[in-house]
Amino acid sequence: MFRRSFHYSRTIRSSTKVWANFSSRPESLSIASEPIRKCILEGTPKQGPPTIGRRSNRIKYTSPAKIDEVFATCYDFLQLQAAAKYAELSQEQDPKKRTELAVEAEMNNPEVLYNFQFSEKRENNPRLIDYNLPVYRHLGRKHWESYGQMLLMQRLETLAVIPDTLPTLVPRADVSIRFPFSTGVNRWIEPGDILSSNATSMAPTIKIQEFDDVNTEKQLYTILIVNPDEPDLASDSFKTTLSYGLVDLKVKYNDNIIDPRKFSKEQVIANYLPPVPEKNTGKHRYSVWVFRQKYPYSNEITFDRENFNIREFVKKQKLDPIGAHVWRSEWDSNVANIRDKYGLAPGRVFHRVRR
Amino acid sequence: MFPQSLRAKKSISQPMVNFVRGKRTKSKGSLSPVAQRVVTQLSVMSASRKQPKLLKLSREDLIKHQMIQKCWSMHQEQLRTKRNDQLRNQYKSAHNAMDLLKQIDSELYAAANESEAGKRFPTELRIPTNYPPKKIWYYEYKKKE
Amino acid sequence: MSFLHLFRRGMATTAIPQTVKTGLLLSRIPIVTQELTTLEKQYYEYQSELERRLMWTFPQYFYFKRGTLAERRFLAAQKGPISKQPGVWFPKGVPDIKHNRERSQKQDVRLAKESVSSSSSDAMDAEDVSRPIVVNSRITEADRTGDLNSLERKLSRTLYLLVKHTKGDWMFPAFPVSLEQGSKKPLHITAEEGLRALGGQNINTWTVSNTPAGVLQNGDTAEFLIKSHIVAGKFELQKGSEYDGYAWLTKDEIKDHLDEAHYKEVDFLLSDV
Repeated sequence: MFRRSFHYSRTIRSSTKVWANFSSRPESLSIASEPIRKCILEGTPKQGPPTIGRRSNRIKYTSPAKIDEVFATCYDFLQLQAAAKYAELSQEQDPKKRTELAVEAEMNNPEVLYNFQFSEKRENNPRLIDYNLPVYRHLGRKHWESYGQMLLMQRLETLAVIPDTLPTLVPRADVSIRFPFSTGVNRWIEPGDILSSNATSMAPTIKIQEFDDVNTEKQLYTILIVNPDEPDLASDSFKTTLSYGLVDLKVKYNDNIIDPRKFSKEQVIANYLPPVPEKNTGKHRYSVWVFRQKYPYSNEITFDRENFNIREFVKKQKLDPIGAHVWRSEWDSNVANIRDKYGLAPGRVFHRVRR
Repeated sequence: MFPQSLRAKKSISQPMVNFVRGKRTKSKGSLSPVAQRVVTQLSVMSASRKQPKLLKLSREDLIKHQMIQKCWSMHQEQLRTKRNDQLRNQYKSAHNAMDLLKQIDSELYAAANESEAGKRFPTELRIPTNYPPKKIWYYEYKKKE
Repeated sequence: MSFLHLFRRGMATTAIPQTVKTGLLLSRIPIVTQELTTLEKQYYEYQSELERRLMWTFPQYFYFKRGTLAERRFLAAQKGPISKQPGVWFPKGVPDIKHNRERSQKQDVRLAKESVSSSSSDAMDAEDVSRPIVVNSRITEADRTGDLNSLERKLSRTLYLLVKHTKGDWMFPAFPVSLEQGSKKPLHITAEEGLRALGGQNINTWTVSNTPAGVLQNGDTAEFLIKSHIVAGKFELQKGSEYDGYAWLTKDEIKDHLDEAHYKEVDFLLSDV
C-alpha cells in the first residue's frame, strides 16, 4: 500500500513545475489566449469553454463528467515525467540525444499540443508554432508524414517522376509551391495538379520546411525545376529541359519561403522559363527538386539547358535530394501569348498520333 | 371438390355476432406472442433509436482528453516495464540457482528439475475481491492422516 | 574436453559451498484487490462516466413485460426526462427524446426499491433477498492493533513469513539439507517438512515449484529459496527451535527488517502488491 500510494495530487515542488516557469522558456510553448489557457489548466469556467464562439452554444455545451479532476492529476504526472527529461537533458552532451530529450520533455505538454493542433501549420505564426524548437519540428514532421509525404511519394511514383528524373528520393523536407496571386491560382498546389499556362506564367514561390537538425546559418540549398517531357525529334524520344535553377539559397526554420526578393542575380543559374508545351505533346511533368549542397556552387560546371542531364549535374555538384514536388501543364490557347511575352519562338504542332 | 370445400369454409366463418358496448374486439398487437417475443429480442440488439447523440468535444476538452489518454498509456507502460524487469530478474535468479545446485549435488539438481506436468493450482486459494469475506481466514485446518 | 574446461573454470572462479540450506518464501496472497492510486481511481471514474454517456438506451421492455406490476414499479422509480414543449425556451438545447431517454445525456437507470417494512426483525432481514448489501471493511482488527503475527492484516498485500533468530536478526525460515547418501531429499520436501517442524502440523501450503527461485550465498553456505503459498491453517512457532518470533510482513516492511545487502538479493522475488 505504501509503495503504491504515490500522491500525484500533492503540491509539487517548484523545481518540478517545468511547464509553468516562463522566465526561461520560449513564449511559443504557451497558449496565446489567456482564457483558453486558464480553461485548460485550471478547469472549465462556469460560462463554458471560451473557444465556442456563440454564447448560446457555450451554455448548451456540457463537458464530459470529471474531466477536469482527472486532467489535473494527469497534468501533474506528465509534468513530473517532463521534469525528469529536463534533468537528463542538462547532463547530456550528444546533440542528437539532446534534441530527442528536448522533444520528449515537451511532447506531452497540453499547451504545445493545443498550439500545434489548432493553428496553421504551413504558414505558421512563430508565436504559436515555432519550428526553431525541436518539439514543433517533431510534431510538424509527424503531421507531414501522416499525409503530405505519402501523397507526394504516391504522385512521384505514379507519374514516374521517379525514376525519369532522379532514381529515387528519401523525402526529408516538406516542399510546397504556389504561383503569384495575379495568375489566378491562389493556393499551395497539390503534387500532380494540372495547371493552365496562365497560372504558371510567372516564377513560383517555393517553401522548404526542414524538420531535421541543420545549421540554418550555413546550409545551402539548390532548387531545380526540370521538364522530362520535351519531344526530341532527332532521337525520336524525349529530352529533359531545365525550366528554373536556383543555387546557394539559405532557409530558416520559420522564414523559409523562397521568392525573387530572397535571392540575388548570381544565385539564378537558369532564369524561369514558363511551361509552354507544344500542341499534341501531352501533359508535361514539371518536377521540382530541392537539394542540400555540400559546398557552394562552383561556376566551372557547365550544363546545357535545352538538353539537361539532371543526374550528371547532381553527381558533379554532390547534391543531396531532400524534397520534391511536381505539377503538370499541357498546351492551351494561352500558350501563344506566354511565348510572345517571353520572346520565345512559336511552338510546333505535332500530330495527334505519334508515328 | 373445390366448390364443396369453399362452401364448408363459409359455413364456419359466419359466427353469430353479439355487439357489446366497450368491449375490445381486437388485441392491440396483431402479432402472435411468439412472434412478438422475437421482435422484442431483435429490437434489443438493433441500434435503431437507441444510440445516444454523438459526443462533440470543445477544443479544450479534446486536448484534455488526449492528455488523459496519453498519461494513462504512459502509466501503463511504466507498470509493464517494471513487471517485465522483475520477471527477467526472477528468471535469471532461478537459472543461477540451478547452475549452482548442479555444481553442488547432481541428485538434488535432478530432483529440482523434475517435470511437474499436470500439477494443479489449489482450488482453496481465492481470487481477491473488492471486500473481504465474513470469515477471512480458515484456521481450523487439520493435517490429513 | 569441454567438460574439463567447465570444471576448471568452476573451480577457478568460486569455491563450491559445502553447507546447503533451503529457505522458504511462504506467502499469503492478497485477499482483497489492490489499492488504486489517485490516477487510477480518477481515470476509471472518468472512463465509466464516458461509457455511460455513450451507452445505448436501456431496453426496459425486454426486462419488464408490458402491463406487469414489475414494469409499473420500474417505471415509477425512473426520473423521466424533460420533454419538448412548443413555445418553451430550453437553454441547454431542445430535448431529443427517444425511448424515454434524453439522447444528449447519460441515462440514469434506477432499480425499484422493494418495500421493506420497518417492523421486521433481524432474523427476517437475513432471509430477505432484497436487503441492502453491507460490505465488510477492508481494514481489519489486526491492522488496527498492529498485530504482526496475524494472517488477517494488510488484506490487499502479499504477506511473507519472516522469523526472528534468537540472536536477534530477522530472516526467511531456512532449514539445513543433508547431502549424505541415503538421507537425501529434494529441496522443496525439506522446506515443507522443516516448516511443519517449525510451525506445527496444522498448516496447508502449496509449493509453487520444485525448482528453487533463487540462491543466497554467504561464504560457505548456500541457501536455496523455495516459493510457497499458505492456503489454510495457522503458523504457530513451536518451542525448542532456534527462532523466538515470527511475523507476516509486506515487501515494504521486509525492507525495514532485513539488512540492505540481504534485501537486495530477494527484492525482485517479492511481489509489489
